[in-house]
Amino acid sequence: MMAAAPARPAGIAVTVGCAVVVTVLGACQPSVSRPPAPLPPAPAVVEVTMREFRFDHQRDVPAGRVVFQLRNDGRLEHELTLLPLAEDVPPISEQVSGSQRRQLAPFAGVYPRQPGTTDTFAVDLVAGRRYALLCYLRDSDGTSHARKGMASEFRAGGTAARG
Amino acid sequence: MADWGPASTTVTDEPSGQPVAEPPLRGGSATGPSGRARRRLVVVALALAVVAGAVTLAVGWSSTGAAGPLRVWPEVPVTAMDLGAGLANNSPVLVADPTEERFVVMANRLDAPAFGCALQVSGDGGRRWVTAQVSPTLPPGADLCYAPEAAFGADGTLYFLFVGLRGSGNEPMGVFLTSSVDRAATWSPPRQILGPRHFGVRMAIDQTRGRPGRIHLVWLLATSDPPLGGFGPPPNPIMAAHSDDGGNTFSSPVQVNDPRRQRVVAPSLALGPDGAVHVAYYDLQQDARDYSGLEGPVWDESWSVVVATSVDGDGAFTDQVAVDESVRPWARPMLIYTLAPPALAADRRGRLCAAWTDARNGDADALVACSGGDGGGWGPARRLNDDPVGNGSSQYLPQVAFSADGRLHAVFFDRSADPRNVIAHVRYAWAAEPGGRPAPTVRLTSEPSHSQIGQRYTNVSAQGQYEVGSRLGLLARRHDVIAAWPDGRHSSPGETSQDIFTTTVSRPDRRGGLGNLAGRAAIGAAAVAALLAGVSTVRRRRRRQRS
Repeated sequence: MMAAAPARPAGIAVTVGCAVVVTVLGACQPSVSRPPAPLPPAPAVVEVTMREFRFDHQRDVPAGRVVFQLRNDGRLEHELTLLPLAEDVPPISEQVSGSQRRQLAPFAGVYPRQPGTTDTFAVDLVAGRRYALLCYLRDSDGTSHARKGMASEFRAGGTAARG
Repeated sequence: MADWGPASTTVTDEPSGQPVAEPPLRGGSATGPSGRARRRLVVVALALAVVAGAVTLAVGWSSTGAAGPLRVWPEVPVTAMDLGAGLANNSPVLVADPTEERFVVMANRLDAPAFGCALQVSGDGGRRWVTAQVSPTLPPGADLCYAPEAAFGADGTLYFLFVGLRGSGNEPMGVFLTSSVDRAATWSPPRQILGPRHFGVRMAIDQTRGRPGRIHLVWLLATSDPPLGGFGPPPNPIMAAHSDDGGNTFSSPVQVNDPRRQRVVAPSLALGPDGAVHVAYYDLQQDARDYSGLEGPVWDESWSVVVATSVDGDGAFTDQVAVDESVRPWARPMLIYTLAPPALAADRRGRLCAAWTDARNGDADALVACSGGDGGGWGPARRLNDDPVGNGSSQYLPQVAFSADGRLHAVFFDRSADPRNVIAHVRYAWAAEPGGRPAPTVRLTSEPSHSQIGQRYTNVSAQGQYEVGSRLGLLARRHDVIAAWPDGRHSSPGETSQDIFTTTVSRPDRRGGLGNLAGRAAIGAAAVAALLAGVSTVRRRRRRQRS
């Protein structure tokens, strides 16, 4: 077996040489330079899977810019409508099945998507505000997908997911 | 003659656009296959590797002189949807920080119902975007921000220019410039650099001229209050000025257009090597109907596309070339503010390409014409779109850009997939050299947009027209191209909501087959080496077992 050759003197020389070069180069830099500003953050991404009859997504949906990435993994066509919910609106599961319903204005959403297809959109969610995901399409029995379970609620920047 | 490249498309299914990570390789495991089976697996795997290498090599050889397939990444939303507000985002411009290529910026305009400006920023080269706040307050006297431009100085300073609008008539009361040295986190107070009645202001920065770079502006100066939809009596000249001190002071404006051309509109700006400044514009010739914003059908005579050049960027635009004098408008335009100018791009060798929408063949086509550089003249206009001529489908709003390797890239709206000529996709074409023959194009959008989405005009000159914006965004970089467009996939006809989407097209190697061949050869060689090593290992083990 060959013995390892002693390399320390050469290593020291290289280290010292590098230090000199770095020092000289550093001295050549402009005396006033600002550190580079940080790059902008990436938006949060929330993946939503649509299937019969539910939306699957992470419980914690952050506030601010959020990109929703949707996939229809079901056998039926599905859509997604995102609505802001006022604080006095009942939980969305009650809202879609109860006898007294409030008029809700959609904030964002996608048109019906065929099984196996995807879609995406971006929104700016307000911290602390409640939002709901709904599928308004109707099943063959005339019942809306929302009433069958495709109604999900979250609070932006919070963890209170229901529905 | 240059060839437009082959354009096979690989549309990825991976939603985030990131390469799919492979699971980590595992070492030998007690639960793994037996020794013999493992050897068989190794041999089979290596044989497959060799076959794959051979196939790769063969493909490389067969495509010598061509280039590898393009990869079109999944589209990503840039602007935030808000159905209640019905925001009409359009007219994106894309620019990249010369000191940090991952920092990409997109400025865009908002049309009715909420006129405005917006700035989107990306820290990962254009794959993911967030909105940046430019200025918390508008300058005194301005009610709205409109028609923004963005450009980077050589030192990474980001400049943002906008027109201030005043009153219910959206009168342009001044042009303002602000800048950021910390990647759009904070901004200088907006400073007025031009007065009222300046339209179609475009900005570009020559990053080779000094540390901040030379800021070039071009605009159309209305010499009288314009009527709705048009301009007052000519002359309303196209003007230019520049600044060498970061926009603090500007040179005295010079007239860009040939004074003999009276009805000039819609300037666009491109910077060539050695300080050259090029401005493309339309000369409406005898078309007083569109110029004055009068009622009537689409003008059925010609306009001209003209390119004016200041060879050193310091003074007069002495070189005036009529690129094409047979341009046929395809629709009534909303002349002031929003008429799409001819797209213009310049490369490092001084070659120019101009692109515009043209109905000379009976329907709207995206045409491009290019100059040879070094004093070479302009070639004839050619169609960027590759659908049958005169088939009644519209291709419009072309944008062009050169990458540093001299390749020309183009994007445009295309309705050829819809027999009714209503819904539009975005298509991409490229050429190894400008001035090539018609190209096979690549569709960038997975979902089309209905063309009747956006602000709808009520003035007589453009009545019933839907505003889709004055340009598409196109940024050509070393290895890829970013395209941006107003997208109506989530809106219905008659609605105003336009979201801007982008996608990235990974480009084939400039060296085409040769460049790819080198990589393929390396893969093939590695496969052969791996096979030899595997065979050697198996033989050693067999010898060991025998002994």
